[in-house]
Amino acid sequence: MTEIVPCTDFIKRLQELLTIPVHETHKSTYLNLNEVEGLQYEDLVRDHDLPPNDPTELAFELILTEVQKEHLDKVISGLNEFLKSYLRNLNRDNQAQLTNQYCKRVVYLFRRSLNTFCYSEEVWDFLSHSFKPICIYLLQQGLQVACEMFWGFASQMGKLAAKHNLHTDSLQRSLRIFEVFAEENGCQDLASHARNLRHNLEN
Amino acid sequence: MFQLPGYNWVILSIVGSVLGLLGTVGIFVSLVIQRRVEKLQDILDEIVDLSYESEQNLTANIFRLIQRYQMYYILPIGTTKSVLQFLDYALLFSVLCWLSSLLTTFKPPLQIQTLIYILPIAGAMVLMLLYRNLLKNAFNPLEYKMFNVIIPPPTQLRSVAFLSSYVNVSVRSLLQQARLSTVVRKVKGEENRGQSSFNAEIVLKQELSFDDFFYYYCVPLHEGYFVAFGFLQIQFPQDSVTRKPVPVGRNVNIPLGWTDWDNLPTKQVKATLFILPPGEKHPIRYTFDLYEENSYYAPFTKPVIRVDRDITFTINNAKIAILEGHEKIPAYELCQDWLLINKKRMYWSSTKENKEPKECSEGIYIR
Repeated sequence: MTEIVPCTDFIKRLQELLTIPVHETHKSTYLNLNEVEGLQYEDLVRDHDLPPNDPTELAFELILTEVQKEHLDKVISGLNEFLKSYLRNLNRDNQAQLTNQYCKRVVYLFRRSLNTFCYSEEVWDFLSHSFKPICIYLLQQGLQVACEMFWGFASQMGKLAAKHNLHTDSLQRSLRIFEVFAEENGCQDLASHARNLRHNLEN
Repeated sequence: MFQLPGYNWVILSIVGSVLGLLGTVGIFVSLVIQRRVEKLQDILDEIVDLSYESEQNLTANIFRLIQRYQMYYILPIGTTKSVLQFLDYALLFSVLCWLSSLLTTFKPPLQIQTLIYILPIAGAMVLMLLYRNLLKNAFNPLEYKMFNVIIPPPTQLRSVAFLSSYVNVSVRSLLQQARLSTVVRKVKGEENRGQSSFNAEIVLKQELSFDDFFYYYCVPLHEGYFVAFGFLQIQFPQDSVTRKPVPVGRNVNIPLGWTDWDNLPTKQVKATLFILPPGEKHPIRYTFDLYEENSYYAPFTKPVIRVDRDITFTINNAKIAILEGHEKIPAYELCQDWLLINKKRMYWSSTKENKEPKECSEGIYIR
């Protein structure tokens, strides 16, 4: 008999993981080879050479195991919780870094779900419907950088979806509605960014 | 010195061999055409196959297929020009040779009977011109329409009438790939005693431009209906920068008509669209749930699409006639005399107030 874990327990575990505080000190001391300009021998033998802990990484792996087990409900509610945590932690100072950190993992999860996961259409349905409220919220909060980056990731997922013959009409619709919303709120740059993404989605 | 009658024989045999060469050009052209027709037929087959997989997103695939069709459809201009040049010179040369050999054997006076001797040459010239015309048409079907029946132009691949009447495809699933949608936009109307009134612009949107069908669209108002109908035919002009022909468009907006913004029901409205493709007998019914936002009504969910088997229609003398189920079409009694296939988009701002429908002359645009 396989053990069945209720969705609530799974979400509770996910929420616990996502609220683990980040050690800020590790971030400045860890040597990342693709970020350094010039490399010295002293850098290689420095103390405290540990990567910073990343709650999104743990949450990502937790959801990934559910994708592998094909638990659709947990995958969708896990993604939902993941995106909510993203919006909760977002502020003006960390918007670029946090958007990158969270959204790239959403893309990874979606890409994983396109391969061998038989409910990829449902996952895409959920994701493409959630983009619009998220972006309108971001714009209302004045987080333009995050908004622009988020649409970038969303259209990346849209392209992946179109490549796998999934319908992209709800994403197109969301982009169009967002474009009108951004225009009405005086954000011409964001509106034209959204229009560009919409026209290039399936090319 | 050559003997003139003998020399005439030499000239005529030269002309004969030049005409023989012309014949080989004809064979070359027909080989090229045959190869092209095969390719185009393959692409057409592929589109027909695709039309049965309605569950998948094939919009990009169909778009790419139509582009590819266009690529095979048009031959490079250089080749066409040099072949036509060869044709022209060869024809001119042989005609000149004939005329000169005729002149050298001619002894005045000119009589009516002499004209009879000229007739075969005139006939040959007419035939040669026809032959030239034939090859030109086969080479460049874009400007010359003679072979359109055998080699349909790329624009026919988005024509619902063509696909539904000549080829056996599922029109419903093809139109599903076109992703029809509708939106009602608030636009500023005329100023009336210092107060500006708002008009509602009703737009039909297509993500992939399919045309050549009759549509009937209606939105319930506070009183009466907004009704738009007409035969949709889209013409995309040649690209002004690259000068390439545009066989198919993306994100096409088709204005259907205008009504009073205040006349629309608040919050939510249910719009119905019937697509009546020539070549079918049951219309395709779309139901859109439009929700009000600040400046527009837009659907949040996918429309419900189904073939309405309760309604049967036919086309008589370029006019739509509903044979069965006309009670299921809102405001049909009012419109029944106007459902003409004349490539115009007509609309009724409100069936309560207006006596006659107006024509929507606003152009189709891409946004």
